[in-house]
Amino acid sequence: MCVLLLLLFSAPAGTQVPGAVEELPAAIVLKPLFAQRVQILDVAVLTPRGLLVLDRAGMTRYEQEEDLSLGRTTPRWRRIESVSLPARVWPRDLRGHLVMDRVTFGVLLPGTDCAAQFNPLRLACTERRVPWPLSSLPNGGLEPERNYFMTPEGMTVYGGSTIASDGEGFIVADRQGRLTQLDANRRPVADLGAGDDVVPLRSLCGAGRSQYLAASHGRDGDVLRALVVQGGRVVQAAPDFPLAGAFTALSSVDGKTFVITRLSGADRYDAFQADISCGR
Amino acid sequence: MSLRNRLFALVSGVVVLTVVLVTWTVSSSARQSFATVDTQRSAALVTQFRREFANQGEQVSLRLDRIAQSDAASRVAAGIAGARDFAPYVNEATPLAAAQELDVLDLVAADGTIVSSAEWPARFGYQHAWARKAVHATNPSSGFLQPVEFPDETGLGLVAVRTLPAGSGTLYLAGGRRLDRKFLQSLVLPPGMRVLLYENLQPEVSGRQLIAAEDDPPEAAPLEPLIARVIQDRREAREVIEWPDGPETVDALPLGGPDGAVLGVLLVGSSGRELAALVRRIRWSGVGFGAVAIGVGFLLSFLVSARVTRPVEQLAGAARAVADGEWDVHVDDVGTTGEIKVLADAFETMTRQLVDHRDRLVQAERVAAWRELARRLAHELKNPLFPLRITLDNLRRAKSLSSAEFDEVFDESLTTLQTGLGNLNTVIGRFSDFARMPAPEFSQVSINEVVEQSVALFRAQLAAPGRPPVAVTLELDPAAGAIRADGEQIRRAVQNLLLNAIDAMPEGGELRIVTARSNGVVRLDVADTGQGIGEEERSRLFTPYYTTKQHGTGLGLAIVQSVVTDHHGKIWVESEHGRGATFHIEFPA
Amino acid sequence: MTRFKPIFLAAVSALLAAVTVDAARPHYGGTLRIETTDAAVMRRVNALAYETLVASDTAGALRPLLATAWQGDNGGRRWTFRLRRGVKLHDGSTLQPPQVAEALRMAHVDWQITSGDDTVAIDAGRDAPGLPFELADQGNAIVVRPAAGALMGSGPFRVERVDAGLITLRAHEGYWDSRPFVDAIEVRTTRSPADQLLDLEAARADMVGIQPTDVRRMEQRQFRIEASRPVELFVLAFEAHVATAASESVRRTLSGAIDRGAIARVVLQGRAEAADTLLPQWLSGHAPIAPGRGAEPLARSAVAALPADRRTLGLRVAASDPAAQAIAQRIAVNARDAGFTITVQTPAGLGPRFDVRLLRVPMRGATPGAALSDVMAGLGARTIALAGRVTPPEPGAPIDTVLFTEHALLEHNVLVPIVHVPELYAVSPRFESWNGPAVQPSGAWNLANAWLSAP
Repeated sequence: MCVLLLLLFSAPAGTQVPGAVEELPAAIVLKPLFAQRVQILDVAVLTPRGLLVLDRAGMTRYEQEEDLSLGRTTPRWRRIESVSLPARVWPRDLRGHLVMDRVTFGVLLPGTDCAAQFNPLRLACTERRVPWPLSSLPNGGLEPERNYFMTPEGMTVYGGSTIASDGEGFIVADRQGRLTQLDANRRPVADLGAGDDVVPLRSLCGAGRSQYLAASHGRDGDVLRALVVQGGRVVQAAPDFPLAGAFTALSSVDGKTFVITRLSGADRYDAFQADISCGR
Repeated sequence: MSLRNRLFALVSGVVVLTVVLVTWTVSSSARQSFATVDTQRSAALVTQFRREFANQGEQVSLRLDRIAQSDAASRVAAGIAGARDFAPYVNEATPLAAAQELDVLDLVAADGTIVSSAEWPARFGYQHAWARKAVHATNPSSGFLQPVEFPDETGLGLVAVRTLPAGSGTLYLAGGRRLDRKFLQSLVLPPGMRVLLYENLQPEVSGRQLIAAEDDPPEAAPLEPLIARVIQDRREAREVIEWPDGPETVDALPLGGPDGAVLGVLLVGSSGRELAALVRRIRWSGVGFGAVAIGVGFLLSFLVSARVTRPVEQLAGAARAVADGEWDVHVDDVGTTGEIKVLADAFETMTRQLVDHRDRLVQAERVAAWRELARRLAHELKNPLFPLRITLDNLRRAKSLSSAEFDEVFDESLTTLQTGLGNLNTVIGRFSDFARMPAPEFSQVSINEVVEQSVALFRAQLAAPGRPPVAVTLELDPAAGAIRADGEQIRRAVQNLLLNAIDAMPEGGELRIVTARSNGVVRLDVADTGQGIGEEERSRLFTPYYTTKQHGTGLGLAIVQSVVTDHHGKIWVESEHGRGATFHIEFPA
Repeated sequence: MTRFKPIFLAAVSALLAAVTVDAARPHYGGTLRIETTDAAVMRRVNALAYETLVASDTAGALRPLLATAWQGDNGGRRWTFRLRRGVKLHDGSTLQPPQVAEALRMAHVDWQITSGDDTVAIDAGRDAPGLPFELADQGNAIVVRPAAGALMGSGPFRVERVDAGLITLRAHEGYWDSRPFVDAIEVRTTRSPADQLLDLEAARADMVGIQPTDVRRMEQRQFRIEASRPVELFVLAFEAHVATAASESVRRTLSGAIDRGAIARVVLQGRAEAADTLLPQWLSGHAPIAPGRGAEPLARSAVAALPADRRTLGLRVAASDPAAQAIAQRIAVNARDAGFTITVQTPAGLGPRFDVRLLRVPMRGATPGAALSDVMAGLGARTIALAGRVTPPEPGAPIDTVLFTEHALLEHNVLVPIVHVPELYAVSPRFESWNGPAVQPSGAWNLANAWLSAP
């Protein structure tokens, strides 16, 4: 189980938001994007009304059919094109990541590096291990047949992120389900509580501060948690956000943060875009 | 019985009587004392047992209170409050009961439905028979007896009821301990006591309802009357039950339920076996002690009596010896003191005097006998010597006569001298015969023939004309047979007796001779009807040369006694003056 | 920034309480420790090592396993299965169609089986429209018997070692559907039920078999319960001397007196279903049609008028089955209401003569016919003969035939179904199941998705 930790930063300048949860008016918000029965590995929003979905079967591009301003909360998508993943025996807990920035468009899979193209949507995959973009946390990519990464120091993590401002260091989610703050030399300096994955979060509410989204499993289910760096310390910044299902993936693609969950009873995967509401 | 035996018997008897009396008194007193103590102990133990039983009831109440106050019970009460489905709580009673070591625990809803039952888990959903009624009817703070249903049977339980609020209703907790063997074993009892429980749950009194703490329960039949009585009377009762291995005092206490019915009978038994064993031990100890004491008493009695009677016996023996003629008996080694010593000394003096006296008497008799012999000899010799002296005088005078007259006188004198010398010779021969009685030559001799031959010799004399008649009667036993004897001497003795008897009847009379054989002896009686013999004469009858006749040597009866003595026989005479005399002789057969 | 209405948050929160939550990130590694005394443990273990061509999903439909597609000719006499490519056996070799054909021939000597490039064709010699369902049965698993060495399969685990009371399986690294999370599985089969629960609470076991009567206690101790569908049947089977026509009224009355609902709801804590038929509804697909209800049961007075030996019955129950004993005790209580006296016997060895037995019969077949055959096999030929001259349905028999056979078995009340119960397991807190329950509705162990949150 993972706890999604969401770091919230106070929005307007001149207003300092203390590190304690109860003092911050911020809240984690999730915007539903997409749902399907096949496991969603990652999503990426293609502006203006496009969505790219990476799942166990392949990668599919969708276009939004309706305008959400009409009152609907969940958009409807129309499938445009798709491409299959290479025929391989993928790990049972398959992880995949869409790499999209101004320069690169690709797909990272366990032991497989794929270059992608649009129009038509294509994947050119090579069996090789490449580091995954864990926000500059050094890694060798997913361990073979496994669902975790290993740092140069031999630390095994499910995810991690660099503390990019207000200090240096990293936040990692280790295999024991704990979030740990590392210093610049990747030595543990603080235990940040339960956590099974962590990704950076960019939000207008937290502009200028290092924000992180993490997920962990609590007794009553998976929750999201917000973290913010204050004075070199990572603190919780918003109340826990309980998830309806189980978290299966956190990702940060093209500056946006996504949460993938699974409702076991309904055999359904949901993709959400995560953000922080400043509460003003 | 000798003095020693009598004394021994007397002292022993006293000892035995004393020991028996003491032993019986002691054991009887001890038995009574122990019985009293045992009765008191039984009563105390029954009282203690009542308290223990009551304590068990309080324990049940206490444990039920703990359950009622436990979180688990509160959780159940909260859970069933308003719940339509009690299924999640069906197994709650068992661990609660186990935690408080209760055999019975039912969780009952407000409407009496069993939510959970520890003793019969499958009975959920059924109506509880007594929980609700008991709460309203009895003092809920105390335990009470109640028939409880178990899967296989109905038993007795010492139970209590508590209530818990359950929403707008109530949760009843009905629980307790089953009165079974385990319960009985949990009661603390002193040694020698036991407890039985009779469950009065059937119409008829039956031994099958009897529960014991031990593995081997007793036979129920002897207890059934007591149980039935207690059930009927609803009162305690006590009875002594005789078991094969000893008696037992059983107190039966009725156990009532809330409505007063006798649900059970508690039987508290106090074994009399120990008391009986103790009494037996005392008795046998007494018997043993008594036996030892009696044995010692016998020994002491024997020693005492021997010590006391020995000098007496010695004295008696000495007296007997003296009576038998052995006068030279000494008792100077009696070894005692006191009166016995005085007696012994006196006896010694007496015997000494007797011996002296006897010696003097013997000496005097000897002198008298010599005098008598000399007198008789002088008398016997004087007669034949007188004609001899006359004759010799005649001869002297004849010297002066003519030759022819002298020759005539000489021839007459010579003849007279020869006759006189013959008489002297005869007298001297008799005396010589008595002095020189020959040793008997034994052979088988028929006493009857000797008597007949001897009588034949005297018949002519007895039949002489001019003699007063003497009737001779012979009563000869043909079975007299023969004796080992010297025939000649026997004949001589018989003839002397006949002669003596004839001489005793100068005026005639009867002469009776009797022979008989009996008891190993042959008896000869010669009886006459003469003038008899006085006592003083009888004593000297067999003395040699003693005679009452004018003539005679006085040796006849002496010879008879000598012959009888040589033949190991016995002779004595029975006579009174004027009534004749009977001489008795016994010869060994 | 898009602002979301708080109602969404509330809706999300509300959903939280309604759904089962799975673990978020499964961990690889560790040894899963299972303890059970289930007689079918080898069947469960073998299912982890040896796969079938097809499998039943939760809805009862078939899903591909070693076969990716299948097609039957008219009437279903001949079927062709397309085999999945690249399936690795436990020794690393690739499963070949001839091996599949050979494995099936070993199980069905009367079938005509041929293999192609990536196909296997089966001619069962009869119309077999349900043949694919038959092939979902574990008895038709593909077991490769090499000339030398141990048997091999293609399942997520391979049987590494079978000792007395301990079976060790090792993860198949090259499993075609992804390597399992755990490295190994240890299955202990000789621990007593009480010891199993102790081991679970002492963290010496991760998954133990439990009885319905244990569920509440386990839940109170925060252990998770995994359950299959009702796949076992508790049934009363009368002995020959009570199975006579003259005693049918007794059997019928006794059957009618039993409160099956209370047994399922209370005795078995709701983890059972009252049973009027041998097959559960989810398997037969039909609502229970209980036979033999035409005649009325005997009134209590009529029962009281019976001779003592006819209204006093001995009920034999396995001494090692506490659930069966609890059911038997409740049956005895119900029977008492009807005027019967039932003595429950639980001898460890030989015991006194009994009149009826309470049996616990598994039904693990994937199809109604196979399940009924399982039941009949579990009851034994002697008991079946007492119930009626009935033979087990042929493989692939239509549902009507199966139901007819079931009806015949129940007609004279020699067999009296009581409840259907699931296979139940309590799992430790560190036992997680990713992407599906650890125990499937059929009772099969879905342990390829099992993972351990703590080493």
